[in-house]
Parts: sequence; C-alpha cells; structure tokens
Amino acid sequence: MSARMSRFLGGSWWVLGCAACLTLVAGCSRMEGMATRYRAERMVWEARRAETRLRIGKAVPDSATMLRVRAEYQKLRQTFPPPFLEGSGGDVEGLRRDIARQVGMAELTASRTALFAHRPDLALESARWVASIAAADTGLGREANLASVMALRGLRRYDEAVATMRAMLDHYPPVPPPSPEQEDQILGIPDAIIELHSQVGDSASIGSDRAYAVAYYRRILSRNPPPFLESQVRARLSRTLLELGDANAAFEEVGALRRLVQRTPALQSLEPELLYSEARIRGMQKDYKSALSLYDTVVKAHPTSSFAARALLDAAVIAERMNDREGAIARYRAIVSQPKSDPGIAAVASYRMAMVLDQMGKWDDAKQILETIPLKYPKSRAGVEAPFAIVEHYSRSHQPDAAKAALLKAIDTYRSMIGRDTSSAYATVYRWNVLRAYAVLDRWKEALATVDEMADRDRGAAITAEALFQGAQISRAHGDKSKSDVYLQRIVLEYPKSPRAAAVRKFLKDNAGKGAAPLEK
Amino acid sequence: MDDLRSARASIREAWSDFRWLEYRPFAWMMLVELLFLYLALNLGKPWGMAGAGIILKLSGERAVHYPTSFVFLSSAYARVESFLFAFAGSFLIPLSLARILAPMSSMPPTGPETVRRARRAYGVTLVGYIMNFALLVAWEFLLPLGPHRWFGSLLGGLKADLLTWCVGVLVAFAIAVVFLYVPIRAVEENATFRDALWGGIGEGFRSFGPTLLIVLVFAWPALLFLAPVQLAPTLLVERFRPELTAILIAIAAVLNSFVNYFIFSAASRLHWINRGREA
Repeated sequence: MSARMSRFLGGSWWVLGCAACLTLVAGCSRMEGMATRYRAERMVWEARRAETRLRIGKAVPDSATMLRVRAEYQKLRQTFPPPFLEGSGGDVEGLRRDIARQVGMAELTASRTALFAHRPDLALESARWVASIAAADTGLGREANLASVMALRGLRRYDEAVATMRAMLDHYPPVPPPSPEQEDQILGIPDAIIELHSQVGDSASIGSDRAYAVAYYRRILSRNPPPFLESQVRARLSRTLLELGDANAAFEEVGALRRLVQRTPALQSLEPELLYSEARIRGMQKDYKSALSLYDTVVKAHPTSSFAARALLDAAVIAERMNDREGAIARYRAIVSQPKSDPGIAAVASYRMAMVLDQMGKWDDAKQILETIPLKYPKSRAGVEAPFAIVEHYSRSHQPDAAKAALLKAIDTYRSMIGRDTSSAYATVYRWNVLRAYAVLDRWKEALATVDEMADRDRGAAITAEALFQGAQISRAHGDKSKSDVYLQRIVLEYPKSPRAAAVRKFLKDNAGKGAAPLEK
Repeated sequence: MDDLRSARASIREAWSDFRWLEYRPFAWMMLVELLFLYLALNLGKPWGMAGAGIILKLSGERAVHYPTSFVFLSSAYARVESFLFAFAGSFLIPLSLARILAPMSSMPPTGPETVRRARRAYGVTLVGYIMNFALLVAWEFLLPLGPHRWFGSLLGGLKADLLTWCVGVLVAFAIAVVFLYVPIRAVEENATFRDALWGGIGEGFRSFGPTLLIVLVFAWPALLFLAPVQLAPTLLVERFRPELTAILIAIAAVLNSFVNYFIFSAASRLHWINRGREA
C-alpha cells in the first residue's frame, strides 16, 4: 500500500470515528430533547413573525386574520404530540417540561387569538388541552385555567367561569413575591369573580363573593405567610371588608397592616394605601372631616400613587354629602383631567360630576358629560347607566317627548356599543337596557325580540332570567300565554338557581291548564 | 519608504502568485469552521446539537435556545477559530509557509522536507500564538474599561460603539503583526526555537508599518461582514432573520481563510526581501 493511500485511509478512519462519536452522542435522549426544544422555540418564533406579518396594516384585524394567526401557533401542538420526548431521568424530565411549556404557551396564544376571532369555543378547547398537558407544571396549569376562564366568559358560561376560578384558588396557593411591587395573579381572582358578577348585573351574588373572598384571604393569613405576601393579603382583605361595610373588621386589618409596615422597612410603599383605608373607615364612621383630611393627605403626599385618584373620588363623594358641591366638582374635574387616569375611576367621576351639575341646575353641561361617558368608558357601569340618566332627568322634569327621544337615543347608543365589542361581558347589560327601553316605549314586539336575543346570546347570565321574566309578563299582557309559558319554563329549566325560579315554578304549577292569569312582579 | 514599496510589491506578488497547494492548509481549517457553522445552523437536529450545541453551551444555557443561540454564535465561533489556529494552525500555517518559501530555498513545495519543517515549527508557533492570544484577551478586557468609556462620554450611542470596534480591531491587528513573523522564521532551515520566537517578534516590531499595511489591505473585506455580527448581534437576531448571523460569519470565515493565506504569503515575501537586503 502506498504512503499516500495509507495516509488517505488514516484520514478517513479519523473522519469516520468523529462521525460515529457524533452519531452516538446525538442518539442520546438529552440531545434529542435539546434539539426538539430548539425546534419548538423556532416554531414559536416563526409563528410570532407570521403574526406580525398578518397584522401589518390592520389596526383591528378581522376574525379571518385572527384565525390564520391561531393556525400558526397551533402548528406546535400538531408537530409535537405528547409526551414530547421519550426516555427517563432528571434531565429528560426537565427537557420534557420545557417542551410542554413551549407547546402549551403557543397553544394558549392560539386560545387568546381564537377569543379575539369571536370563537370562544375554540379558545376553550385549546385551554383545556393545555390544562391536560400541564401535569406538574403549575405555572402552565394556572395559565391554562385563566385561559379557560376567559373562554367561558366569552361563551357566557359564567357559573363555570366562577367555578374554575374558585378551583384555582384551592389548587394554587399564592407565591410569596420577591418585592412588594410584584403580586401573584392568583390574589386577584376573588376580585375578578366579584367584577364578573358585577359586569353581568348579578348583584345578588356579589355579597356572597365578597364573603368568599374574605374567607380565602383569612385562610392564607392563618398559614403565617412571609411579610410581603402578608401585606398584600391584608391590604386586599381590608379593602373587601370595607366593601362589605364591616368597618370594625377593616379597622383591625388596617391596624395589623400598619404594624407590619412599621416592622418591615421595605413595605413603606404601602403608606398611601394605609392612609386611604383609614380615610375610608373614617368616612364609614361618618367622621367626614377626618376622612377628608386623610384623603387630602394621600393626594398631596403621594400624588403619583394609584390611591391618589381613588382618594380624590371618595373625597368628592364626601364633599357631596357635606353639600360642598363646588368642592366635589373640583375633585371630579381633577380626576378626569389627569392625562393617564384610571378609566374605572374616571368613569365614575364623570358620571357623578354630571349628577352634581344637574343638581346645580347646569343641565346642558351635565347632559354633555353624560353623552360622552359611553363613548369614553364603554366598559364601565357608568357607561351603561349614563343614557338612562338622561331619560330619568327628562322624566323627573315632566318632559315626556324629550324622555322618549332620549330612550330612542339610548337604544342607538347601546346597539352601537354592542356592535363595537360583541364579545364583551357588558353586551349582556346593554341588551338588558335595550329591553328596558323598549318596554318603557311600549314597543313590545322589539322588546320580545330582545328577550329572544338575550335568551340565545346571554344564556347563563343571571340578568337573562330577569329578561325572560319580563318577556313572560309582556307576552301575557298582550294575550300570548303560550309564549309567556315558554319563557317561564326556560327560567325553571335553565335558571334553577335564579331568585325568580321558585315563584315561577309555583305559578306554572298553580296555573297549569288554566287561562291567562296575570303574572305579578 | 523602501519598506512600504517592498510591502506593496509583496502584496502584488502574493495576490498574483496564488497557488492552491500553498493555500490548502488554510482551506482545511476553513472547512472545520464551516462545519461548525453548519452544525450551529442545525441545532434543531440531534447531531447539530451534539456537534455545535456542546460548544455553544460554554457561553451559557441561553446559547442553546432559539433565537438566542445566534446572539452567542459569534463568540462561540471565535472560540472554535482560536482553538483551531492554536492546535491545528500551529502545524498547518507553517506547512503553508514552508510551501510558499520552498521555491526561494530551491526546494520542492511538496515532499518530506516541507512537512519536517512544519512539524519542527509546531512548538514555537503554538507558543507565539498563545502569547498573541493572551495579549488579545488582555486588550479585550481593557477595551470596555478605557476606550469604550471615553468614546461613550464623547460621542455616545452607535458612534461610540463603532469607534470602539474600529480601535479594537486596529489594536488586535497591531498585536497580530508583532507575532506574524514567528512561524515564518520557524520554517526556515536551521531555525531554533529562541531565534524563531524572539527573532520573529523583533522582526514584527522592525517591519511593523509595512506589515500592518499588508494586514489592512487584505483584511478589510472580511471585516465588512464581521462588523454587523460583532457590533449588533441582538439587532440582527431580533429585526432580521437570526440565521443571517451564521451566513455572515460563514462568508467572513471563507474570506478570512483567503485573507490569512494572502497575509502570510505577502509577509513571507517581505521577510525574504528584508533578508536579502540584510545579506
């Protein structure tokens, strides 16, 4: 064999040896897992890029675009089926969890996108799939549950949404935060339940929701949490107790929180909240002067705190009670004129300012404000009530034609707000107000059409049971007993927990086979 | 002036006398570098992860994830290049130099004598490279503490980054020039370790200006491709395609391979001219 050939063969063996080593190392589960995770990450990146491309030039992308975006994110689920990686051992388990998280988070983005595309059914399916793969990854499990809640809200299955949120509170204990500024999302769930019931007009459930929240916060406090978490829970507890009107218990909690802040220097940032809570307690105890003084301290000493706007609002309400209308107006104006005002607070401030202006005889100014509230703050209670406030003014001042015109305008306003966001939880309340307006106008055909619309679109909402009852009354008043009975039967079958259900059941039993007996309120 | 004229003549001659046989040792190193980049482009495959992932992971966990692997690719590539130049280059560069200088010593460019000279030069070339590398590391350490701060306070932003990079590259080239003659002297007949190392460094200082000219004339095209990768890796990854980083480095690797050959070829010609002048 020539020297050249021998060198060539020697070189070939070396290359073959390296290739064999590479193949051997590549064959192990760890490398396979790292490569799979890398592919998943690349696919997420590609999906984000595709989303950016699809969204270009579209301020509000249409449903078809959103479903195409969803399809991009769903590629991960289709490409990487569970269990994602074969093999066992600590490293492999870790990689499997990483891949599951990549795939799960992409699927949750697909779920969110489906929601924007007005397909909550698809969103729920995605969220539930992610929950099924989350296994021991509580972070992913929590995200999946939150996505389920959003989807259930979109489907107007509010009871299930609340049940899911309550299950989350049992499943996931709050994580102690590394700093007082960070807060575990789970602590916001009790308030989210209250907010949901408030949005759908289920005021009957709000009291029990608050009691549930108080019990939950007290359960956490009984486990002696670290100071940052304790401060956050106590702050929420005192707020909820104040909402419940239990000033003494709230006072105790605020006292405990103040002692905690004194013991823990890192919690000094809670000072505005403490002052604010103390002011609210003074207000509830009707010590208005002290309350106003404390609220003013919050505004002056902590102007950038989120409690400054709340303090202004509560101080304005107290000023109203003390007949200091100018003082109240000045405070409301201060809230509304803030460049980055909290829409929840600004909406209430605008509404109350209009009410005070009306009381002062400045109806034109008040009306102007009321007309802009639904446009500026469509997702607020004030936005829902403002059009009816105009109607009430004309009714009070005995101007029936103006009241009728205001009712028609209110219907238009609600319809346009529904059109702006058909998936909003407020759409239910808007439809309810449209029904009320038609009922007052005695346009019973339109009123019944709205009842049917609510029965279809707002199925499950407590207010829909009330709408069905109204529909039954209207039908019966116009001699359509069978339609009335259908509405009543729907209340019994679909809303068995409704406060109307028992009386309706009794009414149907008593009047079975009889003529059109009047249906009392 | 004579030195600069000689340098220009060496550059012209090196350019026109390109020979595949002389270049081939550089091509071997280039192929390994390209193989690494190919593996780094295929981290989604187990063999890619096994090949390049292990090297990338030396930069931290983030270096084996997408798309951050491409932010770290430039530094991982520099590691591979340094390793190759130190351990394979200490034989392959003298082999190429022995082939370049063979006609001047009336010796055949292939054959056992060129290989013997390359083998003999291994130790001193490695030591020269390690000294060069140590100085480069020290300079890289000093760069952000000194020049980058000064330029930052004077100009700020991208201008400061660009100027710092230019100064960094210029000083790195200056350091390389000092050690450039070590392998050239090491492949000469009867060269000793001491003569090759200290004589090479001395010659680097003596011919500093003309040699720096040679380096700058040949190196600038590769720098055009390396600059965006080294100056704004995150921008490339986030705003463009991450894979663009690997493509730019691959182009720079191919260009650098030829650049290194031409620099050594021109420098060895300049060394020969200076030898003749001294004689």
